[in-house]
Amino acid sequence: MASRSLAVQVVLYHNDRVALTRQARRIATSIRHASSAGTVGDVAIRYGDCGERPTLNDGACAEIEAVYRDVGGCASFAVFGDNLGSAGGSNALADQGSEDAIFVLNPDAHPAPASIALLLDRLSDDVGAADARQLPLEHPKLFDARTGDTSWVSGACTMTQRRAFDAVGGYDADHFPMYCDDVDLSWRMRAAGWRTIHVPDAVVVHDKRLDADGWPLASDFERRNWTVASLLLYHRYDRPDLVEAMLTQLHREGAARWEQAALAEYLDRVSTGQVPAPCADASVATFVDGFDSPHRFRWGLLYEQNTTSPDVTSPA
Amino acid sequence: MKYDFAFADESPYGAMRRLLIASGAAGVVLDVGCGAAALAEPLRDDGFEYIGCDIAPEYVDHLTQRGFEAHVIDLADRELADRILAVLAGRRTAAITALDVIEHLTRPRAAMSAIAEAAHRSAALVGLSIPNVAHADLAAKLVAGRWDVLPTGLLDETHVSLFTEQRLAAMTAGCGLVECARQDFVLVDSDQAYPSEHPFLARGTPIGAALRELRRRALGSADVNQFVRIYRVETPHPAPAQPDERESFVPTAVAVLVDAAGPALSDLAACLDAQTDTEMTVTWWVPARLESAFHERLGPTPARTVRCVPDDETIVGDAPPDATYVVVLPERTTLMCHWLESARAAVRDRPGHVVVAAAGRQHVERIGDADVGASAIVPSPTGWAGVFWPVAAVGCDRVLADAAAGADPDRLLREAAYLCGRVDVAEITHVTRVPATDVAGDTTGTAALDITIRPRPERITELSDLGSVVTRPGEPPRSATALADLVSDLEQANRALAARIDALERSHWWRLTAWPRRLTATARARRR
Repeated sequence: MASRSLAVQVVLYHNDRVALTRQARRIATSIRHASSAGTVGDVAIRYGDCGERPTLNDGACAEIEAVYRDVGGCASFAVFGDNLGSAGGSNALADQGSEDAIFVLNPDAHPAPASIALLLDRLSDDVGAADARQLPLEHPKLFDARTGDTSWVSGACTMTQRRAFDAVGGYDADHFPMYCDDVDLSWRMRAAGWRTIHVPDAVVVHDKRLDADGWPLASDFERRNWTVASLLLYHRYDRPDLVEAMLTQLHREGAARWEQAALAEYLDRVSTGQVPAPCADASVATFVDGFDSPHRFRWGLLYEQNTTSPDVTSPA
Repeated sequence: MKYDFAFADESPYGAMRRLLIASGAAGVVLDVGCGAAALAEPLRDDGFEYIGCDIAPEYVDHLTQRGFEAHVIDLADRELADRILAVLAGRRTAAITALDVIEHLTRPRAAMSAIAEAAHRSAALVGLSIPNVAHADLAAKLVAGRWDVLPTGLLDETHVSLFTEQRLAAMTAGCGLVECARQDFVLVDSDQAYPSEHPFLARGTPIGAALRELRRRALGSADVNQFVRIYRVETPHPAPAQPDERESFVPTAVAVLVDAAGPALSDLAACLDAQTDTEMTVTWWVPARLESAFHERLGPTPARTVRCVPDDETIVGDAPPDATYVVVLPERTTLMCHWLESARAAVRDRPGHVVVAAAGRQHVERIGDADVGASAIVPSPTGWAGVFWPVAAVGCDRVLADAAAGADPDRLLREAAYLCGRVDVAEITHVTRVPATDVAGDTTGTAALDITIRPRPERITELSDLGSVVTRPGEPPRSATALADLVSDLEQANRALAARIDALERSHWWRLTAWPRRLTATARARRR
């Protein structure tokens, strides 16, 4: 496959500067690998800062620029002056260029050397987006072991075909500013005829932590926002039954504060008409026990019913 | 004369003679601080031109009378390099030697630097012979509260500069000396091995053996009486800044044991690359048969340290000299990004302790060229990847050998905890990945869990080479011993129970009965 131009996009929000420089080295190594494999041509690396105050000072920007210059990449830094969320930030960065492919990466995700080349390789004409296998905490992702086809790709490390991204209008930042934005984008791509695939050979180390029982640590902020986003996802993909099940959970006596906050925010959105309209082709949405995948968060009744381990070899 | 030693083949002089011959150098051997010049005749016999220099005229006269060229030179002379070069007068020079000399000088670095400069300008080697004050006998004597200065020997009363392996390495490096070869003079029973009836020094006592063993593990050269080495000279340069070890300084050596060079290897490499704490030296121990597969798998990375191990050899090795902790990573391990950071935090909290981090385990399936997670991560007993060993107390080679042999870390861990204390990291920071095909035979899940705590006839705390501490049957057990017994038994029971639960959950029976359990859970939730 001929080499393609690439935009690497990282949206920032008060991240650690040292960690970002370390990540830049990992990205640069992966770019070098892809360049020498002839997979990638021109590379632009775009940082978008959503923080109220700049995450990177001039010295840090210069240090990161130098890392990319070594591999022929050109880094730029945009300060949005507003928290656009990861979805809005990614859209704004995508608007800055016209590269063939867009590599969206979380600021705490470190790609392995071969990952960019592997993801680009798999981005064939009918593939809208491809994601990498996350370590050490993998998404319990259902995918077809032969073709890689999967229901949705994770925004932590996704290679997106610009044509597909533009065709569906990018992320829906209004309804999914930072959670489920990747699921929604994937499903809209699939509704438009694109495939979404998982590439297990491509690896990204995502800085996630576990508690003593082996469960991912999630803050109340994450749980609350993920819950609201899930409700909106049910709306868009026409699953009133799941909306009802989750509302029952949130209404129960003894609900946690973050659950109460999620419920309040959702009801406010409903009363002000800020919920997405149902999608024309909701059949692309696949829910597993009420989740968009066998989910990592331990969460109430839905979790208790979802005790089985995912069978990773099952076709999506 | 006090230092009128005769030449003996089995002595530091004999060792230096062999080194000079083996070096292939020819010409003059200029011996500064030559004293009685025991090497003069043997080196002449070997074809070298021996020249002796000393501050004492009587030594110079004596050497001249024996038919050798000799000069009076003061090693404290600020123009020492020029004085040496004047003696050499442009002659082809094999080496400049300083045997049993440097330790007598109050400014040893200045003299060593001048010798290095003269050697550099005359394209000569440098030979040094210096006593080791970190000999195991002296270590044991210090523990016993003794420091016995004698007229001659390791603690010669005229030694004013004392050297250990570390100090010698730092000083020679700072003078631009690069070691070419060594034949250190090993003397297990040094002249300081007395009083012989003292239990710390007597041969055969457990405490004496324990002290010697601890000294051996802590740093090399425990039995070296005299460092005997030759060096070539690079452009002399200022000494690199030495880290101040009085401050928190805990570099970590990471040894990765490669056993398959499969997909797990690149996963582990990616995890190491993504660590938030980067102060570590990673060495990859690769069996010879896997070397090409290893390089193919990980690709070219110039900074990578790879030790290739012949297939039929046990893996042994030393940690980098500045490593305080060593940890061994089996290939099938993934690491959280704060794996090292959290261990270092534990060390800051409890310096010197062995660190034990909680572990997770996950089954994986091979899909294409990737090991893909096939189950949730569950807590599991800590394996090699979760134990950060204090090198000085445990010994790097023992850790590596045990891990490479596939031994359980528990035995070594008991010993390390006994010696150093133990600090735990509660969070799971690493995950052992087990191929689904390696899971032990399926069970029907109907067998009773036959976990029992077995009584032991006697308590033996093995301290490996340190000997054994035995409480015999019938002796009243001390409370600490009884508690340790109980904890050990419970840990064993816990491990066995975890294994059984794991087998149960993976059994056909468990899968077949999933739906009634789910039904029960739903009913229970509805009741709530």
